[in-house]
Amino acid sequence: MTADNEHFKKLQLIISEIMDIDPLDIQPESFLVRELEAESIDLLEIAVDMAAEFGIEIEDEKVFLTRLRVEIESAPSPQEKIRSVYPHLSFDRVEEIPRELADGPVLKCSDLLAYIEFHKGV
Amino acid sequence: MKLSFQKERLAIIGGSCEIGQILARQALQCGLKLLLASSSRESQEPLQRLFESEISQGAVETAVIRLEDPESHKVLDRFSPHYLVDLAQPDYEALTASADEEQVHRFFSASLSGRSALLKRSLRCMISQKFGRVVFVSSTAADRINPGQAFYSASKSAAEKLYEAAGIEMGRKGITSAVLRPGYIASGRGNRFRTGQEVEQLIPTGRVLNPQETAQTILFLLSDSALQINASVITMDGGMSRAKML
Repeated sequence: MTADNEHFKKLQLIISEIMDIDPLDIQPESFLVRELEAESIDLLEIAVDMAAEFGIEIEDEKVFLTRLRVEIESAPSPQEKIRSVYPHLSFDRVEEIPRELADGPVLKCSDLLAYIEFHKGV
Repeated sequence: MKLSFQKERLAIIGGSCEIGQILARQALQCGLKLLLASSSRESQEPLQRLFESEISQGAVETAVIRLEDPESHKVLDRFSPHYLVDLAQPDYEALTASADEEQVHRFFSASLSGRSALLKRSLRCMISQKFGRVVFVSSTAADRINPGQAFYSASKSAAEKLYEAAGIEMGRKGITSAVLRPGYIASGRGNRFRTGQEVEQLIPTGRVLNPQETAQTILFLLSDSALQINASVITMDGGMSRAKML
């Protein structure tokens, strides 16, 4: 997944406008909350604009991995739980997430792109 | 003072009640375009007759919106309101210790979960427009309870918090909220409780509200002059809830 992806470019513009960040600072691997400092209200605006731009229904808690920590807390297999709740995430991403949890919110821009493409059947 | 409105589309949920109809007429006079939503086809048909001329001119449309049916809320996506007035209220009265659990569950599903879903959808329309004003018509019952009104009171009180929260969370995005708590009104369910002198003796102004002044107050709360009344509850009851009447 690269920054040249057409969908990603549109997503980049959405995030840039809402959060007043240079689009070049918004990369697929950018952590939306941890690095870009998105707040709840920013995520809400992003969700609304994503729905309008891509013509898909947005479930905020799914796209923003809002309840991920709670969901995997007592799960025997965190990866299996993540796959079942967030089917839009790739195998590699699911393996990566548990390793990233200790450092803060794990949501990346690439996760939003994955959601968009999953729901558009790409 | 002439009321001004910087935007034009108003959705009235529960628009088939007398206050809703009066509010609709007042709003049309101010140049607003309306979505009048009622909770059933049976209550939609009289609205279509009453507003036939305005419907044909494109100033009014009607719809069925049921709090408990999220599919019915989707009409808001197309109408994309700038303003929302929530007059909807399911009905269930029983003593707390004798209420039917199934009825209670259904009542709260509609009046809280359903209302929350409706508010969510409305707010998301308003986010994309960078403007919104939502007014919830509550009741003094949110604060003072008559026997048998526990569920009505609880739902009004909880719904007030949803609307207040909307104004706090979204204020910086140009979306604000207000809650109106009317007291006894000579209309609708108020006619069930109104017992003339007995009620009027409790009210410092000596009378119950009429639906016209209630609608006028709602219209004011929608207007540009009232937008800084945000996330706040306004009580309109002739002073009843403030008085210690013998």
